[in-house]
Amino acid sequence: MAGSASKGIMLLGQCLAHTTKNAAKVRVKRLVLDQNLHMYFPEFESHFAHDPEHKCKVGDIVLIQELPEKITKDITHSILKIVYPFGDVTDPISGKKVIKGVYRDCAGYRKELFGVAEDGSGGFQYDKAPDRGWQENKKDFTHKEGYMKWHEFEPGHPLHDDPTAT
Amino acid sequence: MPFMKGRFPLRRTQKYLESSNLVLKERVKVFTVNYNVSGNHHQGARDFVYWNIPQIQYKNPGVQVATFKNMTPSPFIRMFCENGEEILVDVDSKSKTDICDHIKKIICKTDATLEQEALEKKSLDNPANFGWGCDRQCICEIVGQVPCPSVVPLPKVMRGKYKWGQTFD
Repeated sequence: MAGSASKGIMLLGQCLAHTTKNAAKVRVKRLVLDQNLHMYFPEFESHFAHDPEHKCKVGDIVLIQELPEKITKDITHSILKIVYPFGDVTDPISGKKVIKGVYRDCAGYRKELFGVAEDGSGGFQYDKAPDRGWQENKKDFTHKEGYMKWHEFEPGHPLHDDPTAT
Repeated sequence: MPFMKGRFPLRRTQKYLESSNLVLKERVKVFTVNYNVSGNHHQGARDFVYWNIPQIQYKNPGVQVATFKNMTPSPFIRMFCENGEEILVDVDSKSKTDICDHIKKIICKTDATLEQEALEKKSLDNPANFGWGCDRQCICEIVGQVPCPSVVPLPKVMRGKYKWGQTFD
C-alpha cells in the first residue's frame, strides 16, 4: 500500500456544529464487526477538517482526507469535496437538483397542478431563494453547539437579548 | 447455529461472509450505496445492501462502506478512489445479482488474482517453517532433530575447534 501511505485515509462524513475556528467537524460512520454476532454495527468518530472559508455547513456530507501533518492540535484532515450539500442535493446520475426522492422541477409541476392557496405565499421558491447561510447568526444558530441555559438575564442586562448567552 | 436468531441469520455466519468474491481493487477507499426505502426500481439496491454489504465490508476491511437512504429518486453506487477518481454505477431497476456481477466486472479483483494472492499468503503461512515470526524459533526445538548445543554439547566430531584444531597467531 505504498501509494496510499503518502496520501492519507479518505473518509465520508457529515458535518456537525462545533466551536473550533477555521474547521469543519465531520462525523464519520464506520461499520465495526461484532465478533460474537458476526454483524456490523455503526460506530461514529469525529474529525476536524481544515475549512478557512467556511464552505461546509452543518449537515453537509463531505469527503475528507487525513493530512500528512496536523495543522493544529485538533485539525487533522482536509476537505476534498462537498459531496451532498445539506438541502441542495444534486442527483449525480441525471445532474438535476433533488428534494429527497423527487426532482425539483417535478415538485414544481405537482404544486402547479395542486394549486396555490389564496392567502399563501406559494411555498419555498428554490430558484429565487438566497444561498444557504444568509440567516446565520440572525435567526439560524444551528452552526453553534447546543448548551444548557442556566440563567435568564433581566430586561435591563446587556446580555438579555443575546440568544447565545448562558 | 447458536445466536442464529432473527431474519436470515445466514447473513451473519462466517462462511457466508467469506464466500463472497467481491474484493475491491486497492485504489477504492469509500464505497457508498444510495437507495430509497420504497419504490420497485430500488428493490435491487435494497437487496444488495441487505445481502451483500456485510460481505463487502468483511472482504474489504480498509474501505469505508456507507449507505444513504431517501436522498435521490434513483438508486446508485458511488465509489471514491485514491486519486480523486469517482465511479458512479446506476442500479435503477437492476436485480441484486446484476449489481453484484457488474461491480465484480468493473472494480473488483479477478478470481485469478484472488487465487494467486491466496497462494502467496499460504506459502507465507506455512506451518512447517521455523525461525523468527513462526511458531518454532529454531530447529533444535523439534523432536528428532539435533538438540540445542546450549543445553547438550555437540559431539566433538561436529565441533569445528576439534575438527580443524586451534590456530595460534
